[in-house]
Amino acid sequence: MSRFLNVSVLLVCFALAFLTTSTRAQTTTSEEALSERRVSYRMNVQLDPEAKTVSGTQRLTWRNPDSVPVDELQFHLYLNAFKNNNSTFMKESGGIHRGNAAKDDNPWGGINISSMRIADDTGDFQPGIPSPPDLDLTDRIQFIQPDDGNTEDETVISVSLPQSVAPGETVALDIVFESQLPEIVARTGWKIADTGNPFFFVGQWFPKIAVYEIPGQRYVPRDAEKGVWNAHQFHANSEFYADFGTYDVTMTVPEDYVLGASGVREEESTVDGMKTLRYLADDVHDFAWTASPDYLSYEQQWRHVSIRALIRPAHEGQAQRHIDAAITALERYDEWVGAYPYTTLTVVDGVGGSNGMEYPTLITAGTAYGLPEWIRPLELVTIHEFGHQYFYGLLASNEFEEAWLDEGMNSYIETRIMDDAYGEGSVMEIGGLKVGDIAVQRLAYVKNNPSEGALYTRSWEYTMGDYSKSSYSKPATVMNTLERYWGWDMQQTFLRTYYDTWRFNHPTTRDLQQVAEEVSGEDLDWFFNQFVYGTAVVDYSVESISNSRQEDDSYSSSVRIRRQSDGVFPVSIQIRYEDGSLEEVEWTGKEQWKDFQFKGETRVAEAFVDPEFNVLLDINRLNNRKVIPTEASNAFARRAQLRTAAFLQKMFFVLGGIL
Amino acid sequence: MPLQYLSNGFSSARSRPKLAAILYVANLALGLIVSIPLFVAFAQATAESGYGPELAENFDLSIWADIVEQSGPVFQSLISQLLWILPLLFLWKVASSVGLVHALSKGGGHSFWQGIGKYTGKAFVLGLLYLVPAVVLLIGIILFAAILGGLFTGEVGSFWVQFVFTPLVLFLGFAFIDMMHDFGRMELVLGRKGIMDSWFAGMKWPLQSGAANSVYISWMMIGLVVLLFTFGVDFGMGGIFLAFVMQQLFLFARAMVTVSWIGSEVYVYEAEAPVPVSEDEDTTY
Repeated sequence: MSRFLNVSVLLVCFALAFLTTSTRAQTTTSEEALSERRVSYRMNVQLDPEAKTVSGTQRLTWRNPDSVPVDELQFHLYLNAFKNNNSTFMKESGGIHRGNAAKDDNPWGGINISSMRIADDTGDFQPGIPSPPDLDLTDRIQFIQPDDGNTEDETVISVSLPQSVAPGETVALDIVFESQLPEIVARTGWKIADTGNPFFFVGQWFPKIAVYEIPGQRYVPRDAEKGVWNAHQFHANSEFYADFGTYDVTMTVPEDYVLGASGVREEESTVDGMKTLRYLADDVHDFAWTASPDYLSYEQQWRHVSIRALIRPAHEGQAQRHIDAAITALERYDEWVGAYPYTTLTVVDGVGGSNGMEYPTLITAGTAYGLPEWIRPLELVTIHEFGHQYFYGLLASNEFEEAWLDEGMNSYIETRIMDDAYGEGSVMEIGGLKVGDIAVQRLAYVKNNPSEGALYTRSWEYTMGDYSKSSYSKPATVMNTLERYWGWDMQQTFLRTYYDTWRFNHPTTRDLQQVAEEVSGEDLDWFFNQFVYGTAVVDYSVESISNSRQEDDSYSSSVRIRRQSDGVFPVSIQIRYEDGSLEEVEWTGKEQWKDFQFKGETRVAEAFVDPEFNVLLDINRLNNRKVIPTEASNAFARRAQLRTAAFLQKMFFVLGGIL
Repeated sequence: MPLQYLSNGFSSARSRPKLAAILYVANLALGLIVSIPLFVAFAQATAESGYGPELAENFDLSIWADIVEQSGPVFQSLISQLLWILPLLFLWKVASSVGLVHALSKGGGHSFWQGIGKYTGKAFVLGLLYLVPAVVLLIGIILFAAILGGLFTGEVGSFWVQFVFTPLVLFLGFAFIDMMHDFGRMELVLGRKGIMDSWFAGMKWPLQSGAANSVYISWMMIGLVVLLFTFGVDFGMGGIFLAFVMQQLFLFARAMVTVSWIGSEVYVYEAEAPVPVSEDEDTTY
């Protein structure tokens, strides 16, 4: 080769390298790394639609964040929850997750690692090449059960390393794996759609390294000698926890499939009827994808975010509703919490049990054909799942241990967005019947054993029914009450500070309380101990009103307010006199009851605890208010009676004949 | 010709407004039986709470939930009252129908109450017999819907089959049975036939008489419109007393429709089936 050619080749290589670098899809709004990026995944996988498998290779690079060497790695193999009837997930759930059953006749799911070895080069992974015995880790894989000792649960593995990873150093592993997808359960797997075509939602599908928590991180004591792996088995009531990093995933699917995935599409090519797509996702802690020949793809730009909706044909007419709901959420999160740092968002209209789930930059919503616009589950779910881009995605709490930090905080913002965007009847609006999201979430708490299930509880330790209440509706009500306690301005400061302080990190309940106390300058133990760590129930009532006429023709009045339960919350009490004048007094609410004395020209006609309905945690609103007998009103009872009578008359005509 | 039947039926109702009044009052009485305990429950829960006037104007989910929680046993007892109200409603439907047929037959002036006294027993058995074609039809519709469901397996197809086609066919099917039942009663009261003969003869009417079908469908649509107006008043004005009064006017009109409906069917029956000479009966109500 001549010197000229050598120079030319070098120039071309340089140019290509430059182009490759400069045209690499931008996954976030920043050129810099936004997170610590302790992990890096490069995967190349192929979907087999017949076998319902995803198989391929993974190059995992993990950096030891500790100040001491680490000689063990732990991984989640979530799909193994569906490997047999005796996994912890199956035992706890009875094979049914949120109404979707993992039936016995379903093909089971699972992850099989056929090879795991320490990479001996920095180049691309070359499967099939035998590795020296000291680099092969396959035989070192051990299933562990850190939560319940169930030896038949294979959702967590431990791999001892032949050589420790030094502090700050990285280890790269080459893994060959095959994931058998189950018929959809727990929002992952395959399904034959109503069109007769296959549908795949591929979530929690690859060997995923657990989080190594260093001293001082989350609840690991600062003075601990070394960090610990935080890995939990897949439980019926738990979600996930992982470290931030980069993902470079190449997926091969049949040519006619439409594919959506976390991150940004970098390349696409088609060979021999198979389509290969490469997606990049940076500063995220998971990667999911979906594929089906049925999807219709719609795209719309919102500022820096390219929104893509993958919609099933039957729901074509609702594509814009998905996108509009996503924009509704984006706008408000941007204003209230902080900027969305990613450049893409994919909203998936999935099949059945795949819906209502969040992954980085990719969410599933779900709707039904013919859904009228005055019922908004589509908007609600889309807004909720988008909210997880913050409370889970960016503020990556440990969902196993503190689910309320993602589900609950997200549900709180969801109620705010729904009621802000769609008004009083945000969930449903028909005739004069308006049902808002804040009210729905509150009722799901106050009328559902409110004294059970603290927010701060490990997911799998909740008794049946308490997980949903204590991870979603109760925290939404707690946060709505906190907002009303110190005002929206303070709440927004709190949310923004929490976001700014902890984004791309793993905040805990303690961290959230610390931010709340810092921004408010108030010790909030009284609040968190009762309603986050504890199960205090708030219920104040007006017990009695008595008036006695004085010699000077004035009235001396006494109002007794009673604290009916163990929860203490400062409340205001509004007194209305017969002449219409109002007086408001404050009460710490600490005593079991308190008599308030008033003196006025007229009698006290009404006492009203918390007239502004600031304490949404109060489980009984009806007893918050009382009027004296002379002001008793049957207006509502009479109207209810008249309406019921007329309604029944109509029904009797219908039932007595055909209309 | 159907227009003439409709007009005749309406004239019959107009000339005997007491018949509509009886239907209306019976209907109102049943409605009040349920709604008065409801009033007591709501009054106990809200009268001294101070929420009464606000709840009367606006729906408040939180307070409603508290009321339902507090008055749960009352609501349960009200629902259990349907166990006797619905059979009573069916019995009243049977009795009032034969009373109307008897009262509206040729020449008019026959006694509504005597018709009830004379034919209710037989008409009740006849009504039970009509459960047979009703059940057969129901099974047929379910099978047909299942076949359609098998053909239209997609979400869109399922939606139309489950939420549109099947309810519509069920509605029309039971209208078909109801119409047979109407004419069966006429065979019983006016044709003086036995129960079984009336049953068979009644089933032929929808198949043999265009006028019978026209009259039935016309009054059904008119009845629907009147009820929709009634619902409209409720939605538009809520539970204020004026709305209740306006609804009562519409409900009386709905009772008039029922009388007109039966009156028109009597005219059709008398025109298309020879009626035996009626016996002399008093003309009181």
